[in-house]
Amino acid sequence: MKKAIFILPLFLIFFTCAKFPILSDLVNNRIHVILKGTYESNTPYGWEPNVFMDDTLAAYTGAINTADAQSSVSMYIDISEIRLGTGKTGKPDNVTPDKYWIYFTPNREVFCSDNYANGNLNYKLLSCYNDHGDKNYAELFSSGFTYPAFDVPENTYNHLAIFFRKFIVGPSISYSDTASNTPVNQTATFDNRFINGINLMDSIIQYAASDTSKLKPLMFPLERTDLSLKIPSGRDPYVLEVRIFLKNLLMKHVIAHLGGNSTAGPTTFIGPSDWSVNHNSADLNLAYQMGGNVIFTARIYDPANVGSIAITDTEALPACKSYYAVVPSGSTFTGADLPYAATSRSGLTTLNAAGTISNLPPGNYDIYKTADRNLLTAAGLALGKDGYPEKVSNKCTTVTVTAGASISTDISGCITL
Amino acid sequence: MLMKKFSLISVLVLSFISPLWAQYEEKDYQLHPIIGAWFGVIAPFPGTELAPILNTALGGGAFFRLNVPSDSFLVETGASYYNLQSNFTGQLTMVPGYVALVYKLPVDFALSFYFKGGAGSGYFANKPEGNGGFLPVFYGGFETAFPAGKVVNIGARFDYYMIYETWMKPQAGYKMINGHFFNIAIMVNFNTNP
Repeated sequence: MKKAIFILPLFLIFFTCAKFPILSDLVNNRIHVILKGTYESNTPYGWEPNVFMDDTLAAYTGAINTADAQSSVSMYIDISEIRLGTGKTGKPDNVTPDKYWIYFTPNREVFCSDNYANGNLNYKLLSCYNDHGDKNYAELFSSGFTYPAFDVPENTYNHLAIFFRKFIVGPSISYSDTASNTPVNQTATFDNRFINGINLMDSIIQYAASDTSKLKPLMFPLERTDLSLKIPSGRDPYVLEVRIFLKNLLMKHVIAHLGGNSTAGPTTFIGPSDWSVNHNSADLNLAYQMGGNVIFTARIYDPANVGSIAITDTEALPACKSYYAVVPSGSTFTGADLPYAATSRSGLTTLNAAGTISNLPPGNYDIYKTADRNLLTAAGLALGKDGYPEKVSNKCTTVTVTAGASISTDISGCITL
Repeated sequence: MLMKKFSLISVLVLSFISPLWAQYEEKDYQLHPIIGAWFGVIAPFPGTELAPILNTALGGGAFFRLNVPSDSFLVETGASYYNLQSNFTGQLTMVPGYVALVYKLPVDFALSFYFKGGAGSGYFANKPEGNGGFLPVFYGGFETAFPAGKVVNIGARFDYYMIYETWMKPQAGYKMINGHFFNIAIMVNFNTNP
């Protein structure tokens, strides 16, 4: 070529715009995981003034047989993560965890009734302090704690698992005899510190004493495989609400330490009440086996597409926690599991009880009232309260919820007793 | 509006290199096209929003480079493929393409040094949302290579990609970000007209 002729390659900056953000999606999450430690899905009761008393405490005197005030109870919970899976029967043994589980919660979270931030620096619980454990604790037992989470693939998840790492509750005290002599504080470790209490992970992960049918631990993870959580399609935010029933379910227990070990006296501790299976406290071999008393449920809703039910009734129940509960119409509700949603009853001992269940997706719901069975009969009261509302009324009524609206309903004819 | 911006960039690039041809009209100009491929690692720039989410990944690409009538300037186009995973649910597949003006450092040395700047477009897709589409890409790069015979060159390159996304209209409560990635790779180039 004597004279080069150049054709400049016309590099077209071609430009087909993406319809939705792609990179930004990785830092924006639709999912909002809200973890609650309450039976209620909204407007929970305050704390019971005292923890409940296990019936076996009646065999003791003095401090052992005295209820601990809620204000003296301390709780330190460490949750390593929450996972989702699709399996209806759990993870098959021949599938690797990476293939089965959806890892969507990047953070370990701590919930501390006190982080000792104002005390001696040497006693400060560092992870409670640095990760706002006291604030998390307050949220867990009121409006709910927002657990940091990444979006999960659209699917229907039957399996949700909460991996507890520690679950320490105090006070826990051992005595030399049944008359409450020579009290010695029991200690557990949290955050590299000794604190008064015992780690319930040593006991509630195990089977209930009378239950030999279970093949897997009950608390690690705390899991359910029948949840049918459907991730909504589209781009709207949605809430995954996880409710673990802990608040107002705490009970003072005793381990007899008799029989095989004559040198040690009884030890008291606080834990979930033995509403499901009786705590076999006098049997040294079974006294630590009290699994199955912590249960949870989960549901998904789109906060922009929910309605509420405002309920009133005229049944005065004893001054215990009774609840309004709803389940999707047609599903059975026996009280053995947590309801789909529930709320507290204001004025529960009066003839003007009321409560509003909010954040309900549009649809038909059956309304029930629930209360602790033991409060409702003389024989039950003699047995003592356990805080679990296993007594369920007949189906009060069915209401249709529409988005953005509050439906009022009166269920005065619906009796729990 | 955006199309205008890119037209402007194209015009600037053209007006920049066109005087250079004029000087070389008289010479016996020969095309020396080079094709090459690279293989290396890509990662979000430390400190950017995606850095805590996406992990470093392996990937590679190919390019085509053409000399223009100038001692110092060349033009290059290239594309590459990467799939960046996260430790959790996120994932990003990216196929950025670019057109760049290349400046060759005028030194008489066994190693050649190239500085590049340009723009383009690329295909991006994410998980778990599963959104995919084309986004504008801005590109900057550095390359060094030495000849291994008449045909083959061996080199290393450092590329920077800015994935421009903040032009989109954000949803309420939604944070828009741009992507910043760097790529370090080893490469092999072939002189097709030695």
